[in-house]
Amino acid sequence: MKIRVHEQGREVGAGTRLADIAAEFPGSDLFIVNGCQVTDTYELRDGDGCWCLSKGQKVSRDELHRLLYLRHTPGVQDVISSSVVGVMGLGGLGSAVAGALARIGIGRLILADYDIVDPTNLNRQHFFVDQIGMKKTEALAANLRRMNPYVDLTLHDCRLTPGNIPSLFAGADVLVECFDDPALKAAAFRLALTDMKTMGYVGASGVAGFGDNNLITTVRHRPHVFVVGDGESESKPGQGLMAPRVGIAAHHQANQVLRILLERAGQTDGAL
Amino acid sequence: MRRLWKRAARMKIICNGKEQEVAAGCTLLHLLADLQLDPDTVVVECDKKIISRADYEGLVLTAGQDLELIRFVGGG
Repeated sequence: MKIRVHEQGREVGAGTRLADIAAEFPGSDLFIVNGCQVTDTYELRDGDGCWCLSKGQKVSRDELHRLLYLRHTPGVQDVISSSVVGVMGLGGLGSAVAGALARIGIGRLILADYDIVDPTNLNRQHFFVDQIGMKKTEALAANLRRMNPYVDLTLHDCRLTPGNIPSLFAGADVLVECFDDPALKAAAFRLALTDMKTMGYVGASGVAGFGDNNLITTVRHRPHVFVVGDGESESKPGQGLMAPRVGIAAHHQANQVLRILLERAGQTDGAL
Repeated sequence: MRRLWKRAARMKIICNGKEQEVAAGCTLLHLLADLQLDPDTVVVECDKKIISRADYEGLVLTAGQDLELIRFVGGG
């Protein structure tokens, strides 16, 4: 039967186990078949694609890319790898959205924030204590490069306004609104409905506190325009922003970005 | 019986899918104030048209108009 080992085709006999292949890769202790982690007792079947890796081993750009292909399937990964996503605001939402998209191997991220990392950010934002005082754009870029060194990053260290958003994010397939300020959220949403009609858009409103998980929803306002949140829970004294609930909303946003990209590429069943 | 005062004329509009009575001649800005909404945080669609923030004050509502208010709260 035919299988693929590290994407190289080969013939093996029926009954071959992954351990037989793994013997060719000394020290390998991490086994992936068809995008899924298995043990080396796995019996290979015709058409399987397998990888034998070492948990401590570094991966090259090509290897990481091929692993993402395996994990996500080629049709889906082609779309992800060729997509550009803009993230407006790199706080609790933006830093988590960017991380999720970098990990799945998005082609390019355009990241914008005017602020620096401060100690009050660390209860929810994906920065580290030793990054306090750094520009958020640069601190997040450093962290994303540690997750996936091969994502192209474009950084804008400036205040965003309705006037500069269209030009700074020109070329993005989807724009993610991760602002703190509700007036800026509204202004950006208005832009998405008027001046940027072809760009996908995922905004957020109502992510503070520790209210019910399931009140966080993703609401479709246009075929390509969505807003995530409960619509009510504003950040205010007694109802602060906290990593768990902001994280729920951020990952709604990231998944919606993925769904928009895949829907546009015809890679879904249309059940969006 | 003689009426000692005349009630201000009222009219009906649709706001987020629900019928609502407002004062005739009321502007969009008045309506948002009545609803205790900060106008800067609300995106308004009036009869399927997105209204620019600069036009909130000058937009006089008329009976039967269909308004969709999308409100944003802070935090991110």
